[in-house]
Amino acid sequence: MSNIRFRLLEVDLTTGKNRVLDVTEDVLKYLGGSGLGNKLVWDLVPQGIDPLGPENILYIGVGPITGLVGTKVSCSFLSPLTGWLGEASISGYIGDEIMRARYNAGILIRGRAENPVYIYINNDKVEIRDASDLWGQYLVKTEHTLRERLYKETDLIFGTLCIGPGGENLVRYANATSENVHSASKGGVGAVFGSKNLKAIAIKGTGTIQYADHGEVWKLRKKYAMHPVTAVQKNQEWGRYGASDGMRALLNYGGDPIKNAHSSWDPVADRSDHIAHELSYRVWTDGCPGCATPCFMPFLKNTSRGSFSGELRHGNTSGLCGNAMMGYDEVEEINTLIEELGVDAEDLQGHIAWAMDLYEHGIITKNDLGGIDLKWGDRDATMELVRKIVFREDPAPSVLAEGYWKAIEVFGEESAWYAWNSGANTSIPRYDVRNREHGLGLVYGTRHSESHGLYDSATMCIFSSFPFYAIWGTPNEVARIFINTACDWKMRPEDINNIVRRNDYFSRCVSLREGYYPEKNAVLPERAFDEPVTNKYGKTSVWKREEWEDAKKNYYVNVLGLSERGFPRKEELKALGLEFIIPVLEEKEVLD
Amino acid sequence: MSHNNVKHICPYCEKQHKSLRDLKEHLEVEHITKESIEPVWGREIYPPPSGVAFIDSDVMKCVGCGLCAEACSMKHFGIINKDFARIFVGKFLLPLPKAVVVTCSQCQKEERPCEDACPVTPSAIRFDEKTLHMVVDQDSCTGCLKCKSACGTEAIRFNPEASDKPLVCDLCDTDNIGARDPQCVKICPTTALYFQNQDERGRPLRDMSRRSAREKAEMVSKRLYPLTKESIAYPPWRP
Repeated sequence: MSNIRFRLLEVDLTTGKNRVLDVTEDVLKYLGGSGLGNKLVWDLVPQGIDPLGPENILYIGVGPITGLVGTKVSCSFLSPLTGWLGEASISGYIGDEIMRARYNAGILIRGRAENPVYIYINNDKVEIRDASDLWGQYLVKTEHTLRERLYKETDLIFGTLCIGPGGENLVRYANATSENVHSASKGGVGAVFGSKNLKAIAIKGTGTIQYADHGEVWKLRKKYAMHPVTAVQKNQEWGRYGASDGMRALLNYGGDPIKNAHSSWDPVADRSDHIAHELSYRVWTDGCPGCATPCFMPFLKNTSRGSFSGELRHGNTSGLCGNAMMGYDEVEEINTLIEELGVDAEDLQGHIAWAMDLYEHGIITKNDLGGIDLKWGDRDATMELVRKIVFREDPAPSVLAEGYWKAIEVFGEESAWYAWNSGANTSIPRYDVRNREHGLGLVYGTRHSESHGLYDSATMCIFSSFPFYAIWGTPNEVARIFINTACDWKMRPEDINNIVRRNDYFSRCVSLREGYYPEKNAVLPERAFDEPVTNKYGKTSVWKREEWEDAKKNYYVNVLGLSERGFPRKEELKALGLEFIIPVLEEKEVLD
Repeated sequence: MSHNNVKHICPYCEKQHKSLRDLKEHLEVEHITKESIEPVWGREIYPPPSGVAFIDSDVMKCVGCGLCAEACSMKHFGIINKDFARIFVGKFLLPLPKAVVVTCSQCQKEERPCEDACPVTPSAIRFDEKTLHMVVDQDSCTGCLKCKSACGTEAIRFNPEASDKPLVCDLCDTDNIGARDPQCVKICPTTALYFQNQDERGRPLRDMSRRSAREKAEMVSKRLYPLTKESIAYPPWRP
């Protein structure tokens, strides 16, 4: 066993104090990232609190191999969107900086500051600084100002994680952004920042990341970087289109919801694919530290209306293309605004499409929207709506900022049929759940948070990891080999499998403790059963109810290892060393 | 340049050939043998040239992975730390993120500000005429870092944890015996780094190579005209 210790920086915004804790024992059991995050949320957050209160924690987690298989950071907290476990991961330089500042178990933020602040971390020097001049600024300005200010002060380029007006105004699906294009989006992490009066975290590390044997780690790294499969991935479609490279296939088989999921094909959306984006708008490729197959393709578009830039990839704002009946012409401008405001594009676009649908059917009126004539595909109306949602103006937009569940309560029952949301209150942006060409219907239906037992706890990047699979094998095996080498642990294949299962179980248990109930929440939108869609080749897809129930049971039992009702099994909890969960879940009667 | 003026000089032994075909044959027979290369499919496999040469960078190809810097620190210090490297990769927001890489261009005699700035005589930091790359004399160097501030390229790096002397690119010829083994060029996944041969080295000024990271970033940011650094839209969105 190696002598690497895992250090967790705890910053208390209420008292202004910070300390470094040794959490090596927990990292051995759960790894870092969301694995350790589950444990911290379970231990530190009292049951049934308001996620936007000072008792909530914000854990910005890294793990033993952050930076080796992609550089990912996983944030854990109690989600303001659902009230259950929240998990949001972000790539980019921020993870590298946290590791090199030698907080290799991440940063834990507790409490609530009186005034707007940002946290300054320069290796061992941790300060809570005033950010009242940054409060209210748009994201890019915030980040630029902060980076320039700290560059003048220290001569170092800092990594920053900031929120925009979305987080400040506690929009339930606000995000936190780094380097303009990377964002921790899901679960409303930006709102948690905002509720703590935390505008940004600026971090710089200049130390050496601790590895048991740098030579052995370098051998793996070099093998990855110089391997033919890496070169193939980089030189082929991935190198040109990044993570959008599956878009054409998805558009072809009708996997995207169009017009708030009333359809699965639209001629304008069909032309707005990754190829058009690459040829017309991409300016260069940008990547994360340590990744040889970069996938960020920032764009710039000069028009007579102005210039617009940002990063569009399949799955986030480009979901607007079909869903709100637009094409890239409109979406790129809207995306620019969304990036500046700091809200999750995936969730926001679902809400926009829903609002358009409700407006068309007269459930919300022009008055509710503050005078916006919200027609399908209207760029200016959409931009106005985005602003109103983020700044919470007028009745309907300010309710839309609260997420689907609260909005349905306000808009009335008839609005629920039009809502295209998953069981976890998020929109279903791309990947229509009715379509079986991809298997994501079950994932959307049964998820409680975005947490993934392996990727988020080992902080591996799902986008960069394809060459790793080709070289070393299954994802678990990749994690095992890298962790064993980096930390000199002696994990056997069954050990890493147990850790992954334990983290998946644990995250579900946190959500169950906070009120997630599978029979009520593991559902698809009603329209997945009632409204068939046909793709452009004439293939129709829709779920039958009994078919869904069977598929769900199969997924619970054979994939997630739960009971047929979606509850954790007691003997499994004991086998995984999570006995302390049993009494809590027994009390809530969510255990089989 | 007229076609007749093209000289087919071998970058390794400086022998002149009549045609490109002759040069290619010569290269394949004399220099690019199976022993001398580590073949990696899809990337440059030529061994480093032996004459005057430097590592140049294509900024637009750089994606900021930092593998070059890690390879450099691994070669020289045996640990993975980008700040111990003699190559610098910076990430700038222009406002879109862009990685900019900076290398030492092994300047010609007339344009070597580091050598001129060195207070020691003879200069502790100097161009070794035998091995044809910069070296820092570890005995005579006082660690005053005047060379570092004199270099407009920021190619001279310094990290107190690594060494109390400045770090400068030695083309991975660590023992100064003329055995070049450029790790950064080898590992660069996007081939943004490459060896410039003698012909390129002969040009009086290599503008792009002899700029600092910030200067390069400024130039790249012109591609994003008319955006300012404070907003990703123009006219800027305002709160």
